[in-house]
Amino acid sequence: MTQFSTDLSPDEALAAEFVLGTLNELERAQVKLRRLAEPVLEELIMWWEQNFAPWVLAAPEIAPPADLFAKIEAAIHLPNAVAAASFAKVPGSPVGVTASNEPANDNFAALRRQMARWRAAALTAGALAASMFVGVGVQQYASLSSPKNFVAVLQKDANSPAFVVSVNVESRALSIRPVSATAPQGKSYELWIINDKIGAPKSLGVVQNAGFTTAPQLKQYSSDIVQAGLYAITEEPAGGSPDGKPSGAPVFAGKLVEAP
Amino acid sequence: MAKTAEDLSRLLGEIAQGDRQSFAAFYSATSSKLFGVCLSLLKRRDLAEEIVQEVYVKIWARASDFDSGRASPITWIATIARNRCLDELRKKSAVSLDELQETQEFAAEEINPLAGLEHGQDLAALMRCLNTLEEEKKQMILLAYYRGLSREALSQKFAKPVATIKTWLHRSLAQLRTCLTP
Repeated sequence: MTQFSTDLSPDEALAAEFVLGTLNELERAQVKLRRLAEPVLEELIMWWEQNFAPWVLAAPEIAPPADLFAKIEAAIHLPNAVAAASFAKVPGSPVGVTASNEPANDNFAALRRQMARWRAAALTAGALAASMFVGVGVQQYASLSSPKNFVAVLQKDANSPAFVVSVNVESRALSIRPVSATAPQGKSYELWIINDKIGAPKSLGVVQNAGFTTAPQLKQYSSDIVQAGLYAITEEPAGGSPDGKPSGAPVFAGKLVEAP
Repeated sequence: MAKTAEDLSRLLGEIAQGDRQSFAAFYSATSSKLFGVCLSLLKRRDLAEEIVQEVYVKIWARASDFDSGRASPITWIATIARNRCLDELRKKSAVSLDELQETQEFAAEEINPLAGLEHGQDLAALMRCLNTLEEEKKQMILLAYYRGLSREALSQKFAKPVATIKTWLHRSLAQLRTCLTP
């Protein structure tokens, strides 16, 4: 933060209101998504968090119920388990997706075997979590999200994030936003969900070249499919696939990981 | 908070190695703060308890993420907890609006001046900047920060359109930013 004008820029206002707490649920979700891919926004949020930190520290101290620590210990007491796996023990939290860099599961492996045509993109997804935690730069200061919120970076490889997807697996609300991708002239990018339980790739609609696109189509799938699915982007004729099937192999793909 | 930032940082390092005794010590030093943060936002003990539990499970799993160069341990975890509580509050916006009737004015006395002696100077600077705002705007900022009131809830509270509240917020935040910028 080196230069300020007398008014807040839209992103400065967004960061300030995010930290103050006045944004609504959707706005908060969008900020949490954007901060993953936008270091400038992340820096603005950090500035307000640091400057308002004295207030959070000045909150009253109130002793929690005496049995709370026992509940926490029970939740993390998994013999020989990796620490990250303890997320699966929290009531209401997703099972099977952890903070580790290993998002692949049996469904995913089966999918890769079944769908050779999609192989390259599917393999990309294996590197997803690593890029989320390294390349895209998730901040340690920002473990902020509900355990039902997941994100995916759709990309060709770990160094080229193209879209950021945010999904609440409970409400199955999805929003997708381009980071660097713009569909070529006369083409549209279309989003698909792939999971062996639903057969062929299913369209989630055409993605706008800028801003957030939502995908109400996701609501027809169960939460476990939404959470385990592979999300992929294909290049289609303008307006989307004419026959409801992908015209070619995915150009970007990724799997969901728990939002940091 | 009997432990210093250095103590808590050391405990986090030990927690990252899977040390349960350190985890217990960390919990006992910090849980009242986290529960206080969450309860003042959520107003429901059951919800506050649920979120605090979730945050400690997260701390156990991700203690190694802590970077002492960026924040003190207590700021780190209190910020995580506060953000989770805000998420929860926004999900239950209907509830928070219903409970608005019960929302008390926020008294500056609720801010514990002894909170984190290490941060006393920062708190004094922040309060000095807050006090440059008009009384109504000051109240709005504190209600948002400590009670988790959304723009809509503030609009009801102050009997002003949401657009006006948004303008008030942005002007007040701009004023705070100018004041807080060295």
